[in-house]
Amino acid sequence: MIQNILRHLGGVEQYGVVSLCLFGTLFVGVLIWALVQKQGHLDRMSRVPLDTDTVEPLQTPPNHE
Amino acid sequence: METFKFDNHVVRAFAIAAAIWGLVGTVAGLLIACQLFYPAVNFNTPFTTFGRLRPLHTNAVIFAFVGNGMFCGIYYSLQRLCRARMFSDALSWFNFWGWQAIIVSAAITLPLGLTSSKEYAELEWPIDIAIAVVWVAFCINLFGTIWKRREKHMYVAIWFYIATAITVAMLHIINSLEMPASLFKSYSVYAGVQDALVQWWYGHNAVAFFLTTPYLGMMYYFLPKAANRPVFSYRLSIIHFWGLIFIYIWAGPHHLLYTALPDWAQSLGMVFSVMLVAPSWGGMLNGLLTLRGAWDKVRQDPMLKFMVVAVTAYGMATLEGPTLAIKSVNALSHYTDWTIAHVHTGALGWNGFLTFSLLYYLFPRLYKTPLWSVKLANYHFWIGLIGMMFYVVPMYTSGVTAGLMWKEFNADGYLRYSNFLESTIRLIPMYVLRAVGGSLYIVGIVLMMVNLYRTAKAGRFIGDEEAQAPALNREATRESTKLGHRWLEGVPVTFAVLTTIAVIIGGLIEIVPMFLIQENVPTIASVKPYTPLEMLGRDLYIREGCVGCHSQMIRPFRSETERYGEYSKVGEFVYDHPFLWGSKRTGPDLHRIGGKYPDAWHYNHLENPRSTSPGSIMPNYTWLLTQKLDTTVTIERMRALRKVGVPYRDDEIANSAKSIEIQSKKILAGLAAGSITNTPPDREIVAVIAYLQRLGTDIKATPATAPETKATPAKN
Repeated sequence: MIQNILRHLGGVEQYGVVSLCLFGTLFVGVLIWALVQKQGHLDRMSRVPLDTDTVEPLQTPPNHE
Repeated sequence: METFKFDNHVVRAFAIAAAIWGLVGTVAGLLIACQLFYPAVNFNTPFTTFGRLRPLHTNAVIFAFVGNGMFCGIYYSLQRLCRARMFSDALSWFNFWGWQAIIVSAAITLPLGLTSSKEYAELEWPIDIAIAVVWVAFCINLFGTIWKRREKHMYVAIWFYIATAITVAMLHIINSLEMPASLFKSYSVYAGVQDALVQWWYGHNAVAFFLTTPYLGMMYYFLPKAANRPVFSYRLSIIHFWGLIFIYIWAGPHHLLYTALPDWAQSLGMVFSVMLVAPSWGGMLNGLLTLRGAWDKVRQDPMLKFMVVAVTAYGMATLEGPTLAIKSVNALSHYTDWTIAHVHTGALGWNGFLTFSLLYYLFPRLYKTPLWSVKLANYHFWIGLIGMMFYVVPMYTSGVTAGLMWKEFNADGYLRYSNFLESTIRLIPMYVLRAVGGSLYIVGIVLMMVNLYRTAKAGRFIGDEEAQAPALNREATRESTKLGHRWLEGVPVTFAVLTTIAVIIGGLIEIVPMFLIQENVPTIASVKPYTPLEMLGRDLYIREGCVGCHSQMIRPFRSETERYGEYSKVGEFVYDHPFLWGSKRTGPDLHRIGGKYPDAWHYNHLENPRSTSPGSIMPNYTWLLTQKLDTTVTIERMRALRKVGVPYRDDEIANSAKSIEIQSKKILAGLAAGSITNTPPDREIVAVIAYLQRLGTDIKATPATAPETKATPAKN
């Protein structure tokens, strides 16, 4: 049935415009969403990889030269 | 505070596998690269010939090298970002061994000619099922680990891993829908233009969600770790993620510009491809700017050197990709080595160098010892970089040269280079240089393997690494009701659902027209299904990987119609399961080859292409002359094709043996006319000639009845 409905969907020429509008809306939404984030949270999140590791970064001096 | 142990065993296993398969994949690439200027290095066996090894090379690099690199990076970083051991050790090892088994089965079946012929999805249906099972195990392990995490919020790297897991599953399953005819032979359920659309929706997004998103996640983890400073802008990473996953999924049709795909779908693919520059460059700049104030570290740490080149190569490839997706640029670049240069900027630069960076980072940490030799790693860096340059620059030159030569007309209005071979011969020096570049790159990998091996020997491996973290208060997590990204980072299921919706929207809008097109494909009454002998010949064409070098899609340009004949129409491919349009013309297009040459010409040409086309770089297909055609599979194959929509009647299937006998006799008569009288009628060559002589001839035939609708010319 679904296939049958899809086959008879019209207005295929509108798809390009519809997709651009969809993208525009989503992009503006994400932009606003990102902008309203609190700086403190963002700072903490960006430090997650640095704080979670138990292994200290190693100095890598060559040991055989 | 809870104490737990990170699983380093499986990380190490994936790391070793990535290094080994990296070597295998690039060596396979070098072998076939050499065949392009010295065809004899196929050792005159079908198993080592370009057409069969090319998919082995691409699969080895994408799924074996990058696949293992991806799992390695994810398993290492996910545990640390979640402050938890992987959800299940059993699933981790099932993931590891299952993936290796799939790679080995690919390495066996592809040289045997068992292939679906769909690019980067060549593996036959039992292996496709195995891939789905192993991938599901990976997904359970991923989400299970996220579920039992001790860090409240999911860091940006994890979002990219989630998008990878979900989208690859969706792409793989939809593109691999096929009808089995036997254990190792199946036919795509889609035909012609629909198959092409689904394939490139898959193919493009495999680049996006297998080669890009997991590696971006790794960049977001390992780059800040190595530079020991947080990512430049976390805000930008939010926009990068959502922008990228939403736009990428729409861009697939740019692989089919100027083909028989409807114009609106081509334009949609082009516009979204151009828009992709924005999130891609956002991500690249976010990575590079993370190093602000830390560039001195890049000088000292080879790991960061590799990372910087990888991210730069990502930036170059993601600017070039949208450029190539512009129709007017694509008109020149498509089917040429420009595409090869583009993908190798991505594969050698982005994926290759990032994997090397990852391995140089991990081994000293897994073995608790400094890298054996920083100097050797620096040698690897420079040899690899020079190798990459020697690879891509000749390929750009070759691509532009071929594109221009194919299109050039002389003052009298004739093609300046009417013989395709003129361009082939012109490109051979470029192919030699490319092999030099590839060899250098391989030398670099060997140096890395030595360095990593010596590092491992010098240190002590910690398989279960102890760590501590406070338990996560799940109640507190749920309390947060603010609908910001902060909230979303704490709810993995909702996050996964939103990601799925983002990738499905684009997919749906591309695939819905696939059904619409079914009604709109202009039916051409004279287009009929292949005869049993032609069908078997087509299967041999697929087995030998002819599609790797020959397209079957003449674009509506005067330069192409002059050279090849009438441009290809959508309605001509309605019985093509799978489609064989191809994406590269190392040799000429074959869509209108039918009837162009006598049968004996094809016989001589396949036996030794240089006998009819001096200077040709096509391998000799002598085994087609001697191997007996397997006709026992005819009925099961016709039945399988009927199930996917090819209208074979019962009597046609029942009388297939008779039909094969009659048509073989005709071909033999054709051969005899060319003084070839020593061929028995039951050899594979007969079926291949039958198929080649049928190609593109249907629209030339006068239909018994008037066509229902005339083929409408493309607007391009």
